[in-house]
Amino acid sequence: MHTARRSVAALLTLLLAPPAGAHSFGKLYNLPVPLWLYLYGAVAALLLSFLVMAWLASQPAAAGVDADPEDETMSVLPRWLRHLLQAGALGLLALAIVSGLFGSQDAYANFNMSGFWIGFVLGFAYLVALVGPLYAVVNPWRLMVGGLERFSGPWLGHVKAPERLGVLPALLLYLAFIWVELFGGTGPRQLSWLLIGYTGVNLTGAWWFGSRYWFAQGEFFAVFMRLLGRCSPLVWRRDGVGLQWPFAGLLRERAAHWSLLLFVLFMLSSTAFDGLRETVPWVSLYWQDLHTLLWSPLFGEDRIASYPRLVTLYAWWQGAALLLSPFAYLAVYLACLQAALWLTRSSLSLKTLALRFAPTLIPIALVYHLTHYYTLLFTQGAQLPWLLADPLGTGSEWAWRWLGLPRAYIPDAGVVWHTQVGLIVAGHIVSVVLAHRVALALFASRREATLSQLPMLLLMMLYTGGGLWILAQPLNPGAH
Amino acid sequence: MKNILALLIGAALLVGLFLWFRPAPAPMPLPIAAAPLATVLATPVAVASAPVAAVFEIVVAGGKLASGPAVISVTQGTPVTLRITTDHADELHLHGYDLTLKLPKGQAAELSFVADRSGRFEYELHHAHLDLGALEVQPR
Repeated sequence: MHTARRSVAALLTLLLAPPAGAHSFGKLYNLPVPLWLYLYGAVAALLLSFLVMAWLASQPAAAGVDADPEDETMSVLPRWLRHLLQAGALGLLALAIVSGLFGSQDAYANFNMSGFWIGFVLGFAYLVALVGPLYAVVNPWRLMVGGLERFSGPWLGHVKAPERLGVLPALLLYLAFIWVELFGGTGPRQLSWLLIGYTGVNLTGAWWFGSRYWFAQGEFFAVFMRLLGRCSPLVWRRDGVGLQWPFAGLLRERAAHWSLLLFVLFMLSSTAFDGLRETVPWVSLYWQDLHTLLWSPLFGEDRIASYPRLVTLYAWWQGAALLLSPFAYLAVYLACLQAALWLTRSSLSLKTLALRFAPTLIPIALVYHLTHYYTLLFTQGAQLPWLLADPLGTGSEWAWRWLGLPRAYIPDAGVVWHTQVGLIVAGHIVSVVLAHRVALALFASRREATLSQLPMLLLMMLYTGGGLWILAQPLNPGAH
Repeated sequence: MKNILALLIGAALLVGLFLWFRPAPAPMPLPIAAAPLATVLATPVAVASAPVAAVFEIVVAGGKLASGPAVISVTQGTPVTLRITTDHADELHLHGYDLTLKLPKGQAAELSFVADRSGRFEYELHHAHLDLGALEVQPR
């Protein structure tokens, strides 16, 4: 079936190639996961979920969710180390801007593309998920504002009670960021201008909304990294570093506002969309299925004549799909929670449930992200030392040659498949356990809590199964 | 005790399912001769790992793939030859393997290599900015 579909799409691209995105940086070398492995992942996730639920039901009543607000801070880090990290962060931001403006415009040769997209957006994010809230310490924009506040006094903002907005500014910035990542086709120079622009946004935002609010709920990397930091097995307190179960920190995360729920759903849906848009089913939906259904009657049968229009419309179509994707995930989420309310006849409101369960989806979001992008750390992340040695991309990284560092490492496709499916199943199980813990704290009785988890299980199977399905789809030739 | 039991059942499930789902290693089909491939239009061509080089004919005309497969699928370790004819002078770049090939106008040029890395590698024409297709190397 796949082969047939693939040939149809191949034939289509032959007749009329859909426009190849300008997204030539960050090429993935991942093969679609074979069908049997996809089925294995889905069945394993389902059966393990039931096993976990049975196991949790047999456990003594848990103490519920530790609601004590942890003082998560890295102030226990020695001063010199903090200052070193902060100087490093500011230095790297400055280097990224300068190298993009004045260096090579080859995306692979200039430090700033790999440094930002691979080193920071992927590598640093995964590091934060491992070690905890490191970004709050090194956030270069926060440091800039902090420096300015030394002279001007604290920036208290000009908006009354910005907390009412929740993380809405961060959500909007996140949407814009992913749009730029997927469709922007940025090169080194554009990236530098974007970083300069984002610096301006942060200075304005901190001044307008107050720096305290802005760097907790307005700057979107701060929100993104804080959520990932909750996955860490390290817990940072004023009196020292402790250990906790990995992901247990998510139980302390409370979504107080619908915008944080949408933020989490967008973490899921944006990665899913990035995978989906390169698959044959997605491309042929627009260029084939909808062509017969809509475009032919609208724009005429002549494909050559209607092609320019179709290309423009495709860009809108893709953009709309990305921006609407979190709402599709939201609809499924709310439907399952409503089912949980009907099943348990609980008097809790849908809003309470929707907000409380939101952080339990983060493990699934993290593994989606990892499975989709982690190979880039090997194929392109391995270049980072070289690029740092020659940030402008002049081709004079001689100093590093004697170290004999690999320039790229392409992991074996078989290994990649198994890691992808393994990660997705593992993330799914973690989310099931977390949701169960939240349910125990939320519902009046154990019975209600367990009942409520049946629709939740369906929800997580849909998200996990969807993620696996995307991984297993044949990729469109000429995608990217 | 219960915890250990749950863990054991979980592990048994994972391993058992894996063994059950995993396909038996496929018997090696005979190597396909190169000649008829040129007539196969844009279908993925599977060639088993064999000492015989798998040859793929690709023709580019008018800035588009005119004939030849859009997806080439081989098993890791297969020697591959891409024979490419374009109606304009260009340069082919195969990502991942980082191989380039000068393409003179209207004359077939050949790129031969052993597909020893598994994964999905796109190849493009630099000057025409044309994503020509993808080489899918299935792991052994």
